[in-house]
Amino acid sequence: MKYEDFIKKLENLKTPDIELPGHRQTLKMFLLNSGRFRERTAMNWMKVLAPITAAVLLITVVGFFAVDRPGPLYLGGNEISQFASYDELQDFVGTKAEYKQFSWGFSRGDFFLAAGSAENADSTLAPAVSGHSTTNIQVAGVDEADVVKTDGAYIYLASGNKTVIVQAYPAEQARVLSEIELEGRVIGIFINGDRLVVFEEETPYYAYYDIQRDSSEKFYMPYISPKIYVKVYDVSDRATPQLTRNVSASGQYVSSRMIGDYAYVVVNEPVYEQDDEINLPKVGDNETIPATDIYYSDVADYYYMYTTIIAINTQNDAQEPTYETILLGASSNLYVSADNIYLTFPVWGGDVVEPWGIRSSERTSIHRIRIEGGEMNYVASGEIPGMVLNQFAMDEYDGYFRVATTTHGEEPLNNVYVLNMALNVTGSLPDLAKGETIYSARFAGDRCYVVTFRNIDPLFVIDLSNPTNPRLLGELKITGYSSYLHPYDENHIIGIGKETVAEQEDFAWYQGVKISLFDVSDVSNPREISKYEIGDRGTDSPVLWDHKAFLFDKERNLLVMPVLEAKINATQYPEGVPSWAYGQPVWQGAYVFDISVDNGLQLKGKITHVENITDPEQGYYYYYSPFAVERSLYIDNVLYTISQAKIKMNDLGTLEYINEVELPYSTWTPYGYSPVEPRPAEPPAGAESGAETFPK
Amino acid sequence: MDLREEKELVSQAQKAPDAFARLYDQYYPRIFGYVLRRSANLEAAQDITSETFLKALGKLWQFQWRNVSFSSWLYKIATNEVRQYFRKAEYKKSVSLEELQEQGFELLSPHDPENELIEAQEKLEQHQEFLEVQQRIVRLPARYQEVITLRFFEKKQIKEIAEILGKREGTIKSLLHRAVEKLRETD
Repeated sequence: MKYEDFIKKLENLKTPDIELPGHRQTLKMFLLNSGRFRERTAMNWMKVLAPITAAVLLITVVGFFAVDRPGPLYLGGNEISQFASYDELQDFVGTKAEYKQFSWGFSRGDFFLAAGSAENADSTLAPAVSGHSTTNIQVAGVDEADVVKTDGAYIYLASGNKTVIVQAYPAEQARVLSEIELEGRVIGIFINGDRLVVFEEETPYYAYYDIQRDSSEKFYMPYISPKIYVKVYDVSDRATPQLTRNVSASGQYVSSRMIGDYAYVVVNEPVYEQDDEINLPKVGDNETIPATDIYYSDVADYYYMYTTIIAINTQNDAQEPTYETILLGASSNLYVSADNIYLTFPVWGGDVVEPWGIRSSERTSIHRIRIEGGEMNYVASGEIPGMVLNQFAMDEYDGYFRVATTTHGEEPLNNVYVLNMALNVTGSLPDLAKGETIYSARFAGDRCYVVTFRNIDPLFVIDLSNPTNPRLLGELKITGYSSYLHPYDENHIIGIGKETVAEQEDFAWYQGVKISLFDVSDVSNPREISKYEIGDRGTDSPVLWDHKAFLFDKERNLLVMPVLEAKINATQYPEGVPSWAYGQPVWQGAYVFDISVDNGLQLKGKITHVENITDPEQGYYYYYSPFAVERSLYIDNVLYTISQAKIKMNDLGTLEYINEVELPYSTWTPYGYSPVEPRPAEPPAGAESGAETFPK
Repeated sequence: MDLREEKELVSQAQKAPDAFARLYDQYYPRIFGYVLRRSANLEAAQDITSETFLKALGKLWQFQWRNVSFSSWLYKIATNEVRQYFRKAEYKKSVSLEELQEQGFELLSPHDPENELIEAQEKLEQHQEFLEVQQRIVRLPARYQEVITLRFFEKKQIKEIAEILGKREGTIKSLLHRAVEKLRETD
């Protein structure tokens, strides 16, 4: 057949167009009922997959004891110990794990690394360093890595695969001093004196490119295990950073903290089988962590994860990094503190059939690892009912670990638990706000604030001064909800969330962003003394899911947050604007407020980096725009707002424009999905398939 | 659905199930159809389609909206899954719909999956001419299978195929030319 005729034949070939409505519907229900949408955080494969495998789990954990001494530990009758040999590990995983094939699909958004506190430290308010602001962290003295850091003279930024150092002060002379370009994505940075710590992630992308050179005989590697690098730079000369240390580890970055000179990074890696071998985690120069160094508990699970904590002395390059590895079941959440690392993960088991599918009973197990500089010791473990929302739902104070959880039974219930250092429950306040779920929580000394929501927002004030008897002091019911709570002072708390309009008894439409100031000095009768609403439905702020985007300074009466503002065009709704109407984004930038108990919240002004929102580069992509303000900070009397594209400087008092610095922002993306700057998709010239380039 | 609307949906779908459901409804038939025309196997098409959407849901937050359409992105994931299917003696799936159905998801569904499968199999077998060509296509290297199916069965433009496969348009054109020649040789 002639070529042209053959083309015609192919073009006109009648192909099957068949549907399987049952499959379509079942898959849809499964996807929509996955944890992806029940949690605010990103997709969690382990939760999604848990319902279908919960039946195989053997977990019926009841109690646990542990003390701060070496020796075997017990979790519900299951010994926690170290493997005697690699064979034992292989045998253990081989018999216990249900699935040995792993999909890299989970997000670090599911891991909560909450910093606890040194005993008696004020666990809620990081002191404002006079002169400049610092990242909004949970606990004083326990720094959290972020994409922007300042030391009062310089600003350090992570953007794509770059780290940029900017001379920030004085504002009039601000300029880019240096750029460090890496292979992988920069996840976050720390600055500690003259040492800059950069977390770089080699992304687990599909092996598209390896297989493009074809040959069906080649073994297909479904996924490439990701790798992270902790790079320490000497930046005593900010214009020429010098790499002094590079610690690598296999796995995915979960979170990190810096306490004193030590950076702690938590890395997860699934346990999988390849060519009949079980993988082992690696730290440093491909140094494999021996099976005999790995802790485990004797519990069968869906599949296993290695959780490795690496401690690095940022100031002393000669000191070898130390690590601790634990083999845990599905979905470990992690939690580190000044004295302790807490590891929390859901315990699956006890299925409940719901109209929408299978739900497993929700319990969370907690593991404590004591840390002191580079020394780490696994010391205690325990268990509580319910699921933990995020790092702010956990706290360590005065020798007790406190945690707020939600159980999604027939009706959701909320609970607050107090545990001692052996992680035995000493007191609890269960069954709070039936039918509602926790939207935010915050511990402040002897108090706990919890916001739950279904169609209105109760703010609960809980007394934890007696660890054996937590008490509900009072509650406030108002419209809207808070997704982030920030203590203003002992008697006032700031809530950031959304306004809502109740539609039915159990349902409400969220509206624009709402900032509230609550007075809790009369604990039995909390009051909302000031509130400010921004935009219509569709308005959003990163503060609602990332506390690091929030800037607050009580001494300066300052509150700054990035906002994407949406407006509804009322002329489109001649009958009146319905509660469900969604607005169009009209503005993105930082809202700057004056905040005080006497005057409440007063808008001082707004700062945007988007000069023309209809300009495709600047405004069109809204969230993705490199001109979207992500962070703000101040140095002396200058407010710095930071987007990927620039740093803008305004007077902190008048908000008058001072200067701006264009940033060499990176459009780099580790995934082949963006045509802007994809990884090389073509084999190099001269490679096997180069011959396929036909002359036109 | 225009691109702008789709972009809005994708951004909302990261949080809102209703937005994800709209995208799913829009793309399920195309992805299932594509995978079926690649594999000519209904069971495999179900598994691969499930994996594709699970991966898409999991990776939605990574989906960088630039100029690649959501459609091409989904086809890209599906294409990769098909490769994996062909390369493994046993396609490893992270979720089995049968298991789900056994465990209660079917309660919601008014459908009868077994009968549907039998009927679909009968329908598939009526496409003898296609099945004959498909049998020859699957013997070609994967890169040829992909361009031929995308071009002639999925009726994709060269530009879209280039997006899906992450290659230049010129490369796609020459790949396609060579693929058709190879297939013709087997005719």
